[in-house]
Amino acid sequence: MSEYIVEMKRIVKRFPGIIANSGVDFRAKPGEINGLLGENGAGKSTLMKILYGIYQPDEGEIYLDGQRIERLNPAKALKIGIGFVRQSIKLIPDFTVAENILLGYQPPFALLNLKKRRQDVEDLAERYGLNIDPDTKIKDMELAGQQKVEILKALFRKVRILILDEPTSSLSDIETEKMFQMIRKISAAGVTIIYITHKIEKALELSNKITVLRRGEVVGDIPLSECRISKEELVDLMVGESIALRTCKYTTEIRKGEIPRLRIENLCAGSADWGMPLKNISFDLFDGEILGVAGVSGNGQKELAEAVFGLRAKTAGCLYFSGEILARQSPKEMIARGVFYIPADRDGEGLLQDLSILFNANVEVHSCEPMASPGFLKTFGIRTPLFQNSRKMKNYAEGIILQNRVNPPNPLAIVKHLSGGNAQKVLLGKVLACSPKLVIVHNPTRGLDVKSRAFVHERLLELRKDGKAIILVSDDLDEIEELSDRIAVMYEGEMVDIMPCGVSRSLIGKRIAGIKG
Amino acid sequence: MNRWALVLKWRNPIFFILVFLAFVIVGVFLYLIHIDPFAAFKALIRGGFLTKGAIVQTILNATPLILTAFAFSLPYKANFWNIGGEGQLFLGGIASGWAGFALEGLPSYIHLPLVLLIGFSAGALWGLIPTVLKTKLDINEVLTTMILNFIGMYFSIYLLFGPLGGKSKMPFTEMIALSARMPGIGKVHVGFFIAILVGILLYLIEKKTTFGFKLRALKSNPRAAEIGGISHSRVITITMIFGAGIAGFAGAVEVTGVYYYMWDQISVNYSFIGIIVAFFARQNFILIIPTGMFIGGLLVGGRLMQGLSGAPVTASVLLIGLVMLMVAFSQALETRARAETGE
Amino acid sequence: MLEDILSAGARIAVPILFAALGEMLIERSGLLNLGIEGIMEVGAVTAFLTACFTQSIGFSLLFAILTGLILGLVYAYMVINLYANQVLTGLAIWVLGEGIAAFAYKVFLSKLPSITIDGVPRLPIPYLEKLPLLGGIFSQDLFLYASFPLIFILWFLIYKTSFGLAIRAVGHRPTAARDLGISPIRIKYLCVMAGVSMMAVGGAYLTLTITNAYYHPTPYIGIISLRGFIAIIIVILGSWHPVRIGIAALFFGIADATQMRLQNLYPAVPTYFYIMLPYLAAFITMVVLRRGDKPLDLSNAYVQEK
Repeated sequence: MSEYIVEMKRIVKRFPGIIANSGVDFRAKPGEINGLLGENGAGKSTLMKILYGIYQPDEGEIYLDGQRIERLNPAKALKIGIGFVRQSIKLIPDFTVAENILLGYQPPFALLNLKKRRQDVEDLAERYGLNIDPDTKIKDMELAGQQKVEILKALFRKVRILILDEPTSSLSDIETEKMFQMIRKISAAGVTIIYITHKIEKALELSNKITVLRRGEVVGDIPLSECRISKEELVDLMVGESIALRTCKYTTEIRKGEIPRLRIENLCAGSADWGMPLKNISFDLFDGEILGVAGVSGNGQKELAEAVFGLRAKTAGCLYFSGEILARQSPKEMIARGVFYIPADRDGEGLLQDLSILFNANVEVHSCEPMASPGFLKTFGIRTPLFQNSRKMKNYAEGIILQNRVNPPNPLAIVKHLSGGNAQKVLLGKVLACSPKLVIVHNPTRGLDVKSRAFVHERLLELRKDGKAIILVSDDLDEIEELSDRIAVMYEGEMVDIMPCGVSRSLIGKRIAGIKG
Repeated sequence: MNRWALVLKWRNPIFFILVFLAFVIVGVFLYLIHIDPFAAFKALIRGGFLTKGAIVQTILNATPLILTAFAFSLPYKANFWNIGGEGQLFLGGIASGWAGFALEGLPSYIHLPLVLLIGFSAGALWGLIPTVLKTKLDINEVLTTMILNFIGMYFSIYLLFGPLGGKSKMPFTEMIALSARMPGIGKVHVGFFIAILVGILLYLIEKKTTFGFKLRALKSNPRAAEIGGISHSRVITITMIFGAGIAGFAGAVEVTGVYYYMWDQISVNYSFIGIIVAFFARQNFILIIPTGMFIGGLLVGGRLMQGLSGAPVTASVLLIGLVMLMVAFSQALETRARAETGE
Repeated sequence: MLEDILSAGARIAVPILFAALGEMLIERSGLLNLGIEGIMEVGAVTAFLTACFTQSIGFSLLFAILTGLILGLVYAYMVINLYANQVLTGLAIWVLGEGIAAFAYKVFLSKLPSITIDGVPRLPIPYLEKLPLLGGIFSQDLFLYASFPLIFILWFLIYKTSFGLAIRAVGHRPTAARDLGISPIRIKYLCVMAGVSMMAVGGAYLTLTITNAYYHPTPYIGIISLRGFIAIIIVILGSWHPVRIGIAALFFGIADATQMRLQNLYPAVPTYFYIMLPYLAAFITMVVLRRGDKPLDLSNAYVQEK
């Protein structure tokens, strides 16, 4: 009999381009509250997804109560007593709370007996201090409420281990406190809790033990009953040492009188039930600078990029481009103004996978300047040419291939077959060839090899030298430090600070973790 | 796992084998009822393709099939399912039928094109309804176009029995004026040639224009296309205006080229068969033309099969049904194969 | 005459009702089946032919269900295992069903002992049949009576049992259901099989009761006369709820019966205008209601994960 309820030994998990977990050991005692800390890409979510059976480990073993467990899947995990509450809610929107909780719980032809079960659900909710009406439909609830339903779902099935992935994002302070009370109660009832977060202060408050992951490895395993550790020390463990080589050339002199290329005032977008709502974002972006946007993913970065580009409707606030107010935004309009977006998900959102490089290269072109129609058509408001000029298109594609050293250098190669690095080069290259005035780029080097990464950085710096404005949203702190002139940090949908480059990694880490001061 | 890769590699031969299998199955059934399958098939081919009269009939049947196939295929390329071709056709027919007899007195070089244009517009307008519902309110177009079929059909038939009907109580309009009738070679009206032109035009648009480029981009990845500045709603709207318009045009063609009046049997589910033709031809505008003629020939030959060989007409319906299933089946195999190997 | 219309309307409604209930079940599991017409046609012809040869209602129903299941399984396999396009496959099944039915009828026509059959006997309920207006409804056959409990059973199944909850979950978010131990594939298959059986019975009912004969007027339209497509609309009008579907089907049946009688009495009345109205109502309902209880995942292919 092991003293640990769950043990994960030497877990290795690889994905194309990265090693998410590299020999990770993790264990938890019954009834313990475990904080799992780390910044983006540290491997915390991956590790827990392995425990819940969403992924299979490439190497390593999992033990529950000393027994080895293999070939796990979510349904099986739930059955043996592991519950997982994650950020992408897997509830049925049109069902009520009670229906979601009861789904799959009883044998098929059993009577649902909602009335009695409903009462059970209500009792359970009360026991843990939750205020939930079992008859509310999920789609009528806010994200925070939906999370509570997920927790209830697990508790109803009497799980012994409850994994919570960032449970307090998008919660107010009061709600966070309530969540904490609930977690303590659950723990007191004997359930082991594993709680993934990037918020250091909260983790210190709540946990019995803290495990810190960085770049797929365990860098700290701290039982708080025995050791004391300060916030700053934890930050350092989380973000590590800065390896930025570039000396920061930014001058702190504010650009007086210069009209910012982009001015955002009090931008609000989204709502509580769809991603992270943005709250009062304000910043200026000048020509010739790279504004790095750092933060743990899920804190509003993607939403910010999409809102600025017009993919997401804003609910409040104003945007000014080159001094003019932008009344309506849509991707088409932004591209017409010279604003481009390179999304993080290059396969799903950036490239047309089953088409050729030539095709992909020419997508924006039909909206942007170089291939625009001859003058006389322009007077009719027709910006794009009527016919595809295959020679022009081919030359254009070849130009991009050459400029970006894409391999294989064949314009007819299908994008799907390119390596990650080359695909990213195509994605980046086609936008850059459009002479953009402003580029919003999100995770440009995710999953890339060293050479490709360096190349992408080179091109971004070139762009900056040309006097263009860049918003660089990235999960990779090294990248942010290397490239940015100013560093903004997103936390819970707010831009909590904008710092000049050259500040200590520690400070950035603190802001990312939500520590003020 | 590798069997799916094989399926993918051999997908074209598999397609033809399956279609051939349809013929074989029907042949077996014919044999079981003591009818010589080879004689029956020979009669089918003869009745559909080999006599002069047969070819004419085939062309006449093929024209609406080809046009309604276009009507489905064009919006399909923008990820929009237009299965409302039947209703659009009826409305095109009734509008042009009315214009055919009501606007008498115009010279024929104005009257006929006007009538055709009116038919086109009626279809296009009817097609805008589900389009707007989809682009503004995100309402599933399969269901809306399907219901609008019935509404369109019954509304047209109501008009036939009522205001626009002829003097008899039967569901026919008046004969349309001579100036509104299509010229042709013998019985083959010019509509057939227009259909071919339309096909070539659509093909060229798809391959050569920026609009066609946008279609391909949208079909591949709507999200990425949107980020690249291509507006999905705009493209859908344009394809539907023309797609539904072509369906309305098909109705007008039947009225002005074949019957010279509008009636309730103007279409015998042409538009649904047109959808199958579109899939059979892999949504290739040029291929739709011979495919439409092939299916049209099967339809015509089927009707004549009985007289020439004793095989019942219904055997041809069975054949067409099986062929359609095989088309769907081979597409399905391809989809699964891609899913298994492409990931 | 009102009583006459009500009873005739109820009878006419039964095939549509069965088909709509079957389609409801299938759609609830996330699949869109446009081949109802073909399945009903096959059920109708099989029931008729079997009845002609065996004079047994039981066998007629049995064989009708069997043939319906064959078509249904073809559809299910293509759509569930091969991720086939549901619209295309459904339409193909429709045409195939018409072909099979027409062909089978033609083939056996000469061999039939008689071309009309006795049909399902009526069982009037002793006291209720004397009721003033509704009496007609209570002097019908077993099937019509069976519709009521059928509606109830389906309602109970879907809303009051764990299985029904699972079906609804699969129709909305199959991945969520799978993570809770439910097999979406199994549920879809079960729903398709049950659904097509009901559709086949609906077709059988038409020949066995209403017409006592079979005909196939044009190559592509048989005895079912597009009722299969009407069923799809009924499902939407009834927003996927058994009781509301029952009401909508009855409404359609009565409208149909009314229209037929009116046509005889007042030839001048624009009948097709009235025929059109229910469809218009369905359309408006669909636009306004937007979702009702519509399965969110309808017609998306559920891709199995290995």
